[in-house]
Amino acid sequence: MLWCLASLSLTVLHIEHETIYLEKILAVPGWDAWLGNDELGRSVAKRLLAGARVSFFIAISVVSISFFIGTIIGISSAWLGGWWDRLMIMIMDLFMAFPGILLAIVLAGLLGPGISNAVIALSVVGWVGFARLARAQTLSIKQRDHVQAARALGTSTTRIALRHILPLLTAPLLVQITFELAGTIIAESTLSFLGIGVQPPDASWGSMIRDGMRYMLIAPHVVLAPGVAIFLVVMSINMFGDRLRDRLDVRIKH
Amino acid sequence: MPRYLFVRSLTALCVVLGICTVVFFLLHLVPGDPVDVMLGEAALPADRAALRQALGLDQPIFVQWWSYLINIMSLDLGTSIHSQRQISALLAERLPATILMACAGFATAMLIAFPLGIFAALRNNTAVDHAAMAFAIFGVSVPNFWLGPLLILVFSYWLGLFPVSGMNGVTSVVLPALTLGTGLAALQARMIRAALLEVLHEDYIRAARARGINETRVVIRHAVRNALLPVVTVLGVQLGALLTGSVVTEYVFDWPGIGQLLIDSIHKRDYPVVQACILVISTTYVVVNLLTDVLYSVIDPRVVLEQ
Repeated sequence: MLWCLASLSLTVLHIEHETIYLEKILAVPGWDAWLGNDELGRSVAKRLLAGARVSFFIAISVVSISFFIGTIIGISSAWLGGWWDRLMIMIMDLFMAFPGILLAIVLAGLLGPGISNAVIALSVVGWVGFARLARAQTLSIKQRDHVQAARALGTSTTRIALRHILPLLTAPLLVQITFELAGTIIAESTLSFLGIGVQPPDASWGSMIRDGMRYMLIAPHVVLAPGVAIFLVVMSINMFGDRLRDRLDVRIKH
Repeated sequence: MPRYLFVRSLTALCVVLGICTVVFFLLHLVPGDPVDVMLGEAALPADRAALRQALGLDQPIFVQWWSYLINIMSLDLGTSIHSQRQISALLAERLPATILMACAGFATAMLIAFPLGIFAALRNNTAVDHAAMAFAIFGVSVPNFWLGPLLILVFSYWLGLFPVSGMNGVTSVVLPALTLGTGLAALQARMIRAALLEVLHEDYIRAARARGINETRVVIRHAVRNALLPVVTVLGVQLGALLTGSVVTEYVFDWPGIGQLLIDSIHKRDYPVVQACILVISTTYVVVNLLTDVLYSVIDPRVVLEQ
């Protein structure tokens, strides 16, 4: 249990450590490069941190947008039922019947490269996970006594959704958020790697790997560093999500 | 069973058409005009209008959509805007390479996942188990556009065992297959381990052991077969990841497949080819998922297929 908590806080600290660190570092240029320099003589360590900022910005925007849209659609679909529910189920099934990242690749490619377009493309496919989860959970919560009671008392629909349903959705949605974060970080770097995501002068871990590949045989560190960064962050978030799921599930059971 | 298959195939067809519709509208919502790409910014308005008419782009979007669906149903994928070639010919050229790589990647994944998952479950909570699970976490978290270059660096450059890129000879498929298969192998190893751990506690396993059947046979005939079901369930979904992974892997290894065609066409704004690639990939995905469902009943006779 203690070990669990320790690694959990370590994971949290690791991520925060990174986000807080980068503003300070970026503010002080001229640091000697720890991880060597890339093909234009830029410090890989600093680009890594700048890439971290872009990556976290995109991941957090995409997950917030997806969370917002997905949850609203999920709750409303379960709550209202009828044709709206059927339409939403149809659309969700369509999105699920297809590897989402592929659609994101196509969209991002055609929208043109750039941070905001990457956010749009990833959000278009990101909301489905939240919507499905919120819908499934709301369907069961809807039948619970406290919601029925609130309804009988004439509480407005918005208020029921916000005060009586959403709090009960928090645990599963939180877990979903961690996994979507990890997925989005990989997806964003995939887009950038394919040359349809973040563009220079913005740094991205994906595009660093893409650019570095050309010089890989002379200077492997240019490719190794961003890869290790993606790998570590994604692994930490995944492990954090696993722990979170285990912990929250226990609480749900009791 | 035949009735089930018929209904499911019909639904699958609807899903594919639905995906085409989504992609079609998304493509048309996106700013950027293929006519501009083909003729350049400096083209005369008359030329633009003529080309627009020739491509059918002057018609209302719903008319375009309808004729697009009709064309798909009659297996007419149109011609590439860029190379003016039949798209079906383009796809036929590229498909074998992608199928080869996907199959090799899948085989690699299974070859790694099964021994790993089974040993991890049998030696639960030992060093073997921990090592296997460490690999699983590594495999799930490592992006394949990084694993690819890494493998090239180690095996092609430092050790000189395999070619760096391209498709020629048997050895050239090894690294792409490994790159593609690692993620799937990791997921599957985890699933197999979890499923097997559950099954190994069942009474019929104890009964089989009590009857004096040797351990290998118990594991393979009695445990693994029953642990397969949850593993097959996720297989269909994971194949989607494999398909997506193949796009990236083809790009890394300069592999002449559908994925590379897709990326190329996106860069060239060759809409019909993009649509066709998506159509092929999504059809594969839907069909594979259908086959997975049918496979259930083969592995587990208790499953009765119904509507």
